[in-house]
Amino acid sequence: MITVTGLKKDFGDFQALKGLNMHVQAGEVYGFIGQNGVGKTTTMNILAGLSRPTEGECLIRGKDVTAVAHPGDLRVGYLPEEPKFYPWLTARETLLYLSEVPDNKRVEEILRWTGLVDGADRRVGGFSRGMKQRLGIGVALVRNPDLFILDEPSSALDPEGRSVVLRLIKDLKNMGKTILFSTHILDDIERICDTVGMINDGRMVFEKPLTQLQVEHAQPVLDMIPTVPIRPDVADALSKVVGVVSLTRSESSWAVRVAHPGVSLTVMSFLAEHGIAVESFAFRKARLEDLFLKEVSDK
Amino acid sequence: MKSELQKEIRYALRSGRILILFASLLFLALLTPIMLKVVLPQVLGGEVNDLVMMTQRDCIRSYLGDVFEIGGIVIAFTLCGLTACELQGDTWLLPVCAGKRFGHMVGAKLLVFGTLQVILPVATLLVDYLYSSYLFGFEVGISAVLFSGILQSIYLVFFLSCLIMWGVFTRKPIPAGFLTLATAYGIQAISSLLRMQGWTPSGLLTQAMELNPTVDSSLLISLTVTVLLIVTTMRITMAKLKYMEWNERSAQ
Repeated sequence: MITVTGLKKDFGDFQALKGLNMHVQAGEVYGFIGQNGVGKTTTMNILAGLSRPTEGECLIRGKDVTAVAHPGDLRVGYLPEEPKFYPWLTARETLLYLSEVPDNKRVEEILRWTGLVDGADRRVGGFSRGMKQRLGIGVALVRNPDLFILDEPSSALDPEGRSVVLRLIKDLKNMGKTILFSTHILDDIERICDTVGMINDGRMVFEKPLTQLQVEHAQPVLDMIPTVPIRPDVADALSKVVGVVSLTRSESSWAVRVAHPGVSLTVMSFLAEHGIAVESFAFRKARLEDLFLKEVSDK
Repeated sequence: MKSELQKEIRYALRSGRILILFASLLFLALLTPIMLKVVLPQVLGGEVNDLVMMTQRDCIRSYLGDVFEIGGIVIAFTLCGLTACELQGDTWLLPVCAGKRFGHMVGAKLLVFGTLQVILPVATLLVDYLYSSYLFGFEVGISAVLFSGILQSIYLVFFLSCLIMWGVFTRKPIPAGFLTLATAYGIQAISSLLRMQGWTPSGLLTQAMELNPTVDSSLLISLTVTVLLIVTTMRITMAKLKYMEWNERSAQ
């Protein structure tokens, strides 16, 4: 659905994108992650036809995005990070205005789907951030495109708002739509994405199916809170135990990355030998956040 | 185009722009006759007052002049955000992504607010005409007044096209308003200085002041030049929008 090759974008002397490559398959949810200012929005703007690349190729459904005369000709459902609506129009009027052909029945369906029926005739100026975000997704769907580009759709929302937005994205996926969305909430990526692409400093760091990523980088982590402080020499000895990959201290708790779950027995024995009791000893899988932080710190 | 027109009409009504423009022009229409009939004689005093005999024609001319000078400022700063605020506030981003054509978006603004620029000044000119006839007596025929009103309205549509164009270039409403006023007053000053008002939109104002409903070659030239300038400003606006990069601030 989307093929990006060697994409570069300069803003004066500043190089925002430095040869980005990206592949988004039809029908998948692609999570685009990266720190602030690494080029996520720039990439999405170019893909939505809103900005021109300095160099490189961007194909949507095999068509070069720079070859279209008008961004609307790409037929992409685009949601900017902060969608701006006319505050003096109601939600219903907004959807009707942005429809290709005003269709009251379809607008009614979208209002119901986004949960905005009750606020349909209220002016958008009085909407909360979550309602605006839901209306934005509704607006993106109003022309029934097969591709959605959503820039940080769940950021800055409360947990309930986030959950609703994620439900809408899942619904879009079930409708067979392709979704490229960026976020810095890695939990959202783990909940709904099929593929994850991580961008750093204008380049793609990795691009893999989420399941593959979880297998490749799935080093289990033991989170433990000791009842007494662990001395530095004991911590050093623990880090050298066979099977322990790394040891990180965070205030009173310790995160022990281990090669495989069996190492937890060795760790428990080590703690018992050194007379260290623990308040909590929890075993968890490595999260995308651990990988993200590792990649960022490696760079 | 229908949805764009509906949106602009809603904006004009709900933002109070119509009310502001109508109230300002009505104020001038009612104030001018009072100023000339009541205030001016008191200011000038006895003997001088006898020398200056004000008529309905003078009153209407004075109002037409006020609309250009004071009304122009009110129009410029009431409508300076027409395109500038759309770009500054990124409200055009979703319509552009939804496939709305630049020609339709800008055309709807010109059509709706251009129609207002015809209706409101002509309506308030008629108020001025009736009120001045009450104070000074009937002197000018209604056809002459309507003719002058329409000429002035065509000039104001050109004024509006400048506001739309400068709004797209500056992306800021206040500079767009100032640049439009500079364009209008600049054309007026230079064309007066070079005695070539007939070749500029200012010729329409000069003809309107005549209160003479006849079409001569000079008027036709002014009309043609004004229409050509409106078309040119719209084409420049469209070209600028076509090559514009959107959502830049979020990207950088």
